[in-house]
Amino acid sequence: MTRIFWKNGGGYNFLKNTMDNRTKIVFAVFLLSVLLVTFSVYSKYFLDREYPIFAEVPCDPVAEVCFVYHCDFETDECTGAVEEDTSYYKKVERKAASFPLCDPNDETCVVTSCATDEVECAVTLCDPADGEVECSSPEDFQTIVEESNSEESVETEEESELSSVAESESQTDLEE
Amino acid sequence: MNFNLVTNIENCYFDIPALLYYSHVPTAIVMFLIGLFVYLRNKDFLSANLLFFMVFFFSLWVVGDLVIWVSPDSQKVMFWWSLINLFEVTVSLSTLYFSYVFLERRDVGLWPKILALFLLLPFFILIPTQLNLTGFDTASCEATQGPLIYYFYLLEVLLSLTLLTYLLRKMIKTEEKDRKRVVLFSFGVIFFLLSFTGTNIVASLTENWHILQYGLFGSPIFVAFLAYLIVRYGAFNVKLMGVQALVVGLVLLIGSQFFFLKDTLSFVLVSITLLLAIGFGIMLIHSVKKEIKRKEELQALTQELAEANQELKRLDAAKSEFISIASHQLRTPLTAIRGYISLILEGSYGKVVPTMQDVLNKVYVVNNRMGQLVEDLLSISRIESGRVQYNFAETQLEPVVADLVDMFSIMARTKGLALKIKLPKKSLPKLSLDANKIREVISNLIDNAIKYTKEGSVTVSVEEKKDRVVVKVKDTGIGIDSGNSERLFEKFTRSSETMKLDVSGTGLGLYVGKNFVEAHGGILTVESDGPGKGACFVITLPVKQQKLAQK
Repeated sequence: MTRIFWKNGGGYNFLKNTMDNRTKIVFAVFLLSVLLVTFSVYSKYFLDREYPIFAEVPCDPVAEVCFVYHCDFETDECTGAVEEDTSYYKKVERKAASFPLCDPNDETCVVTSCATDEVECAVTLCDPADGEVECSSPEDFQTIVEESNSEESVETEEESELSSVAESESQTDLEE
Repeated sequence: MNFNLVTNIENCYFDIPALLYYSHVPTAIVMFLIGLFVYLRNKDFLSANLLFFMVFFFSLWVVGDLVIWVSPDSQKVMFWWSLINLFEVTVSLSTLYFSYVFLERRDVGLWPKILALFLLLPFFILIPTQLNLTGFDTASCEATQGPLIYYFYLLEVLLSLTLLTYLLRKMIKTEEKDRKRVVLFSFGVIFFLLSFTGTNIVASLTENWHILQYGLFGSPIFVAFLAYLIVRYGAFNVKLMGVQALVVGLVLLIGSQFFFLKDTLSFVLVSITLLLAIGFGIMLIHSVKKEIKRKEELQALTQELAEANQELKRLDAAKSEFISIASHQLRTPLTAIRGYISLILEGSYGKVVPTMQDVLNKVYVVNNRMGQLVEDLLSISRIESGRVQYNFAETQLEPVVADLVDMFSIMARTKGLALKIKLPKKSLPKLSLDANKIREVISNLIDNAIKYTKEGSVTVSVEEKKDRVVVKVKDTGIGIDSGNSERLFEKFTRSSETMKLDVSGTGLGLYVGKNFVEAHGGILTVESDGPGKGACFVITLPVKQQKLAQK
C-alpha cells in the first residue's frame, strides 16, 4: 500500500510508504540469502578452515634450491651486511586446516611435510629455469661451506699449535 | 609472540595507516547513527527503511574492511573478504533504490526488485566457492581473488552509471521549486558513489589498498548533505536527531585524532577543541530543541485553527443552506395569509365586525413582521452564499425617499411622532443603483427610527456632498451606547436599549442593509451621542457607482 500525505503546507513533505507484501518477500529472500551465505563462509573459514594458504617458509640454501630475497632498503629494516640482509625461502600451499599452528621460524615446527593422504599440499622450490626469480644454488653453498670449513680447520690447527706452544712455555716456567 | 601461518601470521603485523581509523570508525558510527535515528523515528517511511538498510550494509562493509586491514588471522580476513563485495553491491543497489524513492516519492515496481535479486544471485551461489577467493597469501596478508571479482566490477560500474544517469536526468528535469533539494541530494549521492565505489574499484584493480581510506571521506559529505536536507526541509521529521547526530559525528571526528597524535602540544590542542566542540554541541542541541518545540507548538496551533476554521465555514454554509430552504418554505404560507386577511379586511367575504377587525389587523401586522423576518433571513442566506442579484439602473433617489416617508407617515402619526423630510433644492444626479435594495435599506432605517422613538421626531434627509449622496435617518429616540455601535451591523445583534423597548426585532436588518449599501460602493454608519440622545443612521453612496456587486 502506498500513500502520500502532506504534513504541512510550507515544508518538504515526505512520502509515507509502507512496504507491500511482495517487497517484504523480496527483502526477506535477500536477507535470508545473506544469512545463508554468511553461515556458509563462516563454516568454511572458521570451522572447517577449508581454504588454501600460500606461505613462504624458511629454506635451507645448502640443501635446497631456495628463492632469494634481498632486503629492500625502502620498506624493510636492513642491516647493511649482505649475508644478514639476504634470506631464503620456499613456497608452501596447503589447506589451512592442515597447517600446524606453530611458528614456522621455529626449527621444531615443520610446515612443509605433506601427509601421504593429504591433497592440495605442495611445496615449491625455486626453479632456476624461470629467469624472473633469483634462486640459490646448493652447489655454490657447498663450496662456500667447504671453503669456510677448510679455513676454519686451518685456523683451528694454528690455534692449537699456538696453544701447545703456550702450554709448553707455561710448563717450563712452572718447572723453573 | 607465538606466530603461525593461520591464526596469527607474522607478516600481517605491519604499520596500519593512522588515517584508516580516522576514515573508518567515525564514518561508520555517524552513518549508522543517522540511519538508526531516522529509522526509529519514521518506521512507516519506506525511504527511512531503505536508508537504514543502506547504512547497515555500509557499516558492515566498514567493519569488514577494518578487520581485513588489522587482523593477523587469515580466517577472519577470508571471512570478511569473501562477503565484502556483496556488501558493497548491496550498498550501491540500496543507494539507487533509496535515491529513487526519496526523489520520486513512490516505490519502484516488483520487477526491478526481482531483477536486483537476480543480479545478486551469482554472489549468493559463488561466494563460498573458489571462484570468489582462491586462497590466502601470507606474504602480503591478503586474500587472492577469483574470477567473481570481474562480475563485481561489471555490476558496480553498471549500477554507478545507472545512478549517475538517473540523478543527472532528475536534476535537469525537476521543476525550479524542487530543484535545490534534488541537486543537494544528488550531489551528496554522487560524492558518496564516486569516492566509495570508485576508490574500491581502483584499489582492487591496482591492489593499492591504501586508496580505500580516502574513499570513505565521501560518506561524511553524503551524510552532511543528508543532514542539511533533514534540517532545511524537515525530511524524515528528525531535525533534532539530525543535529544530535551531527554533533556526535563532529565529536567523534575530533576524538579520533587521538589515534595518531604524536606530541603533547597537539594532544592539548585537540583536547581543548574536543571540549569546546562538546560544549557548543550541547548548547546547539539545546537551542535547536527549544526552537523545534516552539515551531511544532505553533504548527499544531495553526493546524488546529485551520481545521476549526474549515469546520466553522462548513457549518456556516450548512446553516445558510438550511435558512434558505426554511425561509422559502415559510414565505409561501405567509404570503397566502397576508392575501386572505387583506381580502377579509376589505370585506370581500362579507362585513367584518369591529372586534374581529381589530384582531385581524393585529394578525396582519404580526404576519407582516414575520414576512419581513423571513425576507431578512433569505437576504442573509443570499449574501453569504454570494447569490444576491442586483439590478442596477439609473435612478433618481429623492422620489424613492419621499415615497417611503409618505408610506411611514401614518405609522409615525399613530405613535404621535413627527416624520419630516429634507430634500435638496437642486435636483440630485441620477445614481446607478438597485432601487428595490436601497428602498429596503431606507425603509428598514425609518421603521427602526419610528419603532425606537417614544416622542419627538424622525427626520429623513437627502443631500449631495461633493461626489457623494448622503441619506440620513435621524431620530430623537433611545439612542445607542458607544460600545454597541460597531456591533450593531453584525448578524443577530441588537443594542441593549432596543431589547428593553421591543423584543420582536431580530437584529438582521442592519446587517442586510450594510451589505446592500456596500454592494453599491457606499457605506452605512451610525452616529449617536449616547443612550436617550437619539441616533442618526447615514447612508453614503457614490455619485459614480462602481457597480461592485455586478463585478
